[in-house]
Amino acid sequence: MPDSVAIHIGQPKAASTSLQHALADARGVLARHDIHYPLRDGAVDHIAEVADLQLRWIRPRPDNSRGYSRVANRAVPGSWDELVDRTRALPGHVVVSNEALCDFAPAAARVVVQSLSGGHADKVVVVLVIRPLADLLPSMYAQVARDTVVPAFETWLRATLALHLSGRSREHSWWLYPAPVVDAWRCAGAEVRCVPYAGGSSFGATLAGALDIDSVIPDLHLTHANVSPGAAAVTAWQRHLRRSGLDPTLPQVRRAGLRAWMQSPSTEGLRLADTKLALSGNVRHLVADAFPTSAAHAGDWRNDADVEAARKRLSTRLADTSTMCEPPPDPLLVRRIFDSMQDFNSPRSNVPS
Amino acid sequence: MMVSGGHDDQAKRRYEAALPDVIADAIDEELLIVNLDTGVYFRAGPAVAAIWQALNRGHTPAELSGRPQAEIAAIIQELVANGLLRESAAAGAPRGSVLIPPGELALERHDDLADMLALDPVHDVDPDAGWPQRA
Repeated sequence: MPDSVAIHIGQPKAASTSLQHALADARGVLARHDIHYPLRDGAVDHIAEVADLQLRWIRPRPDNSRGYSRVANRAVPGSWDELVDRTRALPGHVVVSNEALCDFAPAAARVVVQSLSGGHADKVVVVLVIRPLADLLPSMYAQVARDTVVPAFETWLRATLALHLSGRSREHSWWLYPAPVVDAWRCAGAEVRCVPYAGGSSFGATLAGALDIDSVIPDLHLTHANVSPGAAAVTAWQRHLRRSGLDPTLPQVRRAGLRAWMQSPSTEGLRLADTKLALSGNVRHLVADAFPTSAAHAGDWRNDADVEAARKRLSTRLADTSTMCEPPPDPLLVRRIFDSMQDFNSPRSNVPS
Repeated sequence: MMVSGGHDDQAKRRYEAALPDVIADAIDEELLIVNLDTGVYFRAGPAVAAIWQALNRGHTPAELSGRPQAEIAAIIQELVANGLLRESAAAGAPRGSVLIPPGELALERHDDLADMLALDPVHDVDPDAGWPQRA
């Protein structure tokens, strides 16, 4: 049985992949110091195991076949129980990581904590990286745009907030309400450490400290990154597809186009990235007062009254339409950007025959 | 759900948003309608936005002008079929004509948020045994 267990639970879009690659790369060094990151062959995190556990509770329904399949495709049958057995057989300190754990309801969190610790919840530390909403939302949008067709960022943002502010989807509002996530894992008996997301070189050291591995690796080398185009870039790119007569509903078109954009070395691409920053700034202006999702504030949201008050503040700001009017990218600039890219000089070449 | 009857009959009916499962918002001539029950949301341009707003203010389809009645009837039928609009029992005096601006009479459907709702474990609560339960 390990002396201690550290479980990294996300948030999604908050350096999870970087952390997992760094931990996987450092497995050998860590193991020599009795710190273990038990992985299946070829894996860098515990997505297969967590999905396997999720499948015990979610079921396919006629209206959620795609959502269910997404989890089912990630799951490796029996892998959760194998992870539990491996963890319990290890000495020292064990680290487990997957950002889907951020979604877990209190009862499910309790299953995780109790299973991995053999019933000794006081040995478990849960690490939650919290990213400011104004940065998180454009990043979520870019991620969704890679998988499906989305409207312009402002429209998507309104729909997303409307859905979550309605209270119909509280279980999936980890990004809007970090406090219930913290509470879920505290109720399971674990110590929860909130780490504010930050760029820069010192963030690896902060994460290492939170995971209690800084005695061996004082500064995790976070080099891997999911390069995502900004919300404005995705919007501009989808407009370009429509203007070019391409069908953005074709997955091959979306993926090829995004990949081309992300690989573009043109200076115009960098200028468009500036548009992303401007857009993020406006979103920040919109939500900063309403939802200050910093680690410090997460600790303050202990009850429904706090959440309701925050909801009301954001609703008030959403009603002020002027705050939602993002400056659109200059169309001439956008056109030059895409015209300058080889893949888009003959856009129909992206369409599979 | 289909709207029964011919165009003439339909044109005299009144409609309303299918509250409370539906919310809608029109900003900058763009209409956004969210089905809170399914998570599916719809975007439309100024022409549909004008129709939506006129119907929800109590106008009948017959009072909408500037577009062929058959086209107006078709988009209303689509809104009803998607559970966004429903017939209203409210009666009222004629409210005058509303000019529908040019633009496409079509709904753009998005279900990326529906995926998120569909995974929500709160829907899978067992009322007797509680949650979570092994499948």
